[in-house]
Amino acid sequence: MHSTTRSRLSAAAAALTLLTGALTGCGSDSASTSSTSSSSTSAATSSSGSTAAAAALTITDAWCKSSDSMAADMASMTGCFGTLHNSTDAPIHITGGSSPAAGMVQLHETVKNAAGEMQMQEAKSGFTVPAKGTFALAPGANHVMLMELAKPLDNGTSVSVSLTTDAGEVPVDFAVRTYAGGNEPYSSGSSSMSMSSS
Amino acid sequence: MRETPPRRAVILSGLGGMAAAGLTSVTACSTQADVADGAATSADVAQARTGAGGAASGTSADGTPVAGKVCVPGPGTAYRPFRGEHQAGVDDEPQPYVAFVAFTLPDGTDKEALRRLMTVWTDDIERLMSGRGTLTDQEPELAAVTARLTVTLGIGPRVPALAGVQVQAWLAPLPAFPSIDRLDDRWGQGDVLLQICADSPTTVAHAQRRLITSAGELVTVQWIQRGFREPFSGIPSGVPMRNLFGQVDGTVQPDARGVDASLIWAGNEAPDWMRGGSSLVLRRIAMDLEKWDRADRLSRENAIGRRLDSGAPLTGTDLNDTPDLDAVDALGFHRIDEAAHVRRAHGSGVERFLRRPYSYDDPPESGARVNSGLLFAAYCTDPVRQFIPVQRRLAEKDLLNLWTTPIGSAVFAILPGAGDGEILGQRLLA
Ligand code: HEM
Ligand SMILES: [Cu+2]
Repeated sequence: MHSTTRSRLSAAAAALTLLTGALTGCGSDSASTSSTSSSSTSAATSSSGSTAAAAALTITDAWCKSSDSMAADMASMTGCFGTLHNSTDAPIHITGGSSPAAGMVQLHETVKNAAGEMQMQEAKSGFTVPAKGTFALAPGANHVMLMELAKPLDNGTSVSVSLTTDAGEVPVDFAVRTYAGGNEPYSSGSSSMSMSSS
Repeated sequence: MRETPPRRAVILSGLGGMAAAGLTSVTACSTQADVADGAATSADVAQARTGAGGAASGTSADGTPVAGKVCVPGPGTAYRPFRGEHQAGVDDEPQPYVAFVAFTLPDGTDKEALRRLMTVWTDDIERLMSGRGTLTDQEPELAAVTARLTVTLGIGPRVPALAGVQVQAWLAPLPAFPSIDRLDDRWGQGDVLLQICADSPTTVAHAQRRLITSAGELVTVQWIQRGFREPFSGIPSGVPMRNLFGQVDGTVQPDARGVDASLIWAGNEAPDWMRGGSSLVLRRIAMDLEKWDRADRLSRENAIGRRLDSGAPLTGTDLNDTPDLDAVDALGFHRIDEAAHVRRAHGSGVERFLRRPYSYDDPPESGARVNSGLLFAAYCTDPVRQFIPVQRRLAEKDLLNLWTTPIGSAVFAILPGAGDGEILGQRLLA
């Protein structure tokens, strides 16, 4: 299956490059054509065997909330967002992740708890990016959670995360940005560790 | 006035012909040109207004629709490219709305923090100028109206020092001009400057808000100066604006995109990190409109040396006529007064710079009735050689000083543009 998709993948990558190139010039009419991100596509240049998976799954507008904008009692964790793009003909299932910056990486969903308040919790079944489709990671919705941060994430830096998928490991760079929202408390389920935010 | 259409072409090429790029559909709009000429009929004005409001057709003076004469002063999605040798917002035709935002860097800011700031702002500015929200933008719909947004980044004297490079001699507050200056620290030198310009005030407000927010604790806001120009004369024709004295302002300019480019953009004489950059002198100049009310038209024109209606020199008939500083009247007096602003300000050779002034009209302090003036913005390669000699002459003698008072002053280095994959200040912070 990998050998058949490869040529299609490189075609997709080439198309993306073309599009990106076109956007840096002065377009003739409208800026609305530039809704596809140019500068932020985190693409596939891993030395490992994950190249194909990385080309299959890319992310645009990838960013994590900086630690200084996290409420004090949540400072050891943060949420990461962006739009995942699957360029293949088959769905890609993301099951988890890892990062040198965090002791633990979880996939989170935001749900209403019994009291009717929004809170985030682990998305136990992972995320599925549909074939030739996208999957949004957004504040107050599905996101990647970096937990047990080794050190604070500073505004203007970046953090690398490897997403574990059924198509292999996908390296992703998230830009770190100050952000006021995304303060849903976290419920670990088992330990009822509910955290308030200010 | 409408019998001299060619002069518009002259003006256009004078300010660089920039209206031609990306705004072709708009420059074809003749009604705009009439309005811009300053003697438009009220029907023209009403029509332009309607166009500006996005209505489907124009209206005549009495409000009846005029089919087929829609004049839209620029689609909300017109935009300027961000990347290039120079930053945008200097030699571009001035958009009608501006916010100059100066920032202070907190103590302890180091090169790494500067790099993080530039990383955030470069990405933000590129996104905003192309109509996308910033990464953290929760109102990307506001960013979609690019309205020719430009965001231009400048740095004050502290930044090169923090980056460990030598500070240019000119990157310092201007010398004091005690005969005219009444400077208020409130509008003083900053560490970093963002000049945000657009055709829409909402676009300016949104960009300003996002850029301030995304910098987080890397900066604190020092001051914000908002300004405007006549939205119906600047677009698309390139005609100079009228300031709040009613004068046509910004007529005599170097050819920034042509033969005079080296007056505006730093070349090989500059350190690597400034090559392709410029400088901005921003003077906040209060204009005493109440005192101006007491001046008759003749004195007003005499003070400048130009006519109020057409902006033509007192020695000529057309806006673009060159003032004849030697011409004398029957009694042997100079027709352009010894102390007229254009005589005193006129510079030749290197003593020239690009002016991009905006009016301000802020709420008066309590008890006062006006708080108006000019955000006088001048760009050049080296203010010490190009700007200060002119300012010195004006401080010494200029009839306009009767009504104008500098109350704020700051100098910034405008960084070179960012090339592909670069952040603003790439070579400074390398
Ligand atoms: C509120 C303050 C000021 C007002 C209302 C004002 C207004 C004007 C006007 C109406 C003109 C004639 C049209 C034109 O060429 O733009 C002019 C020209 C000019 N002004 Fe000013 N100005 C002000 C301050 C300054 C300052 C502070 C400088 C520089 C230090 C300056 C430099 C010039 C120059 C270089 C010219 C062109 C002179 C020529 O070569 O003909 N102005 N100004
Ligand atoms: Cu979470």
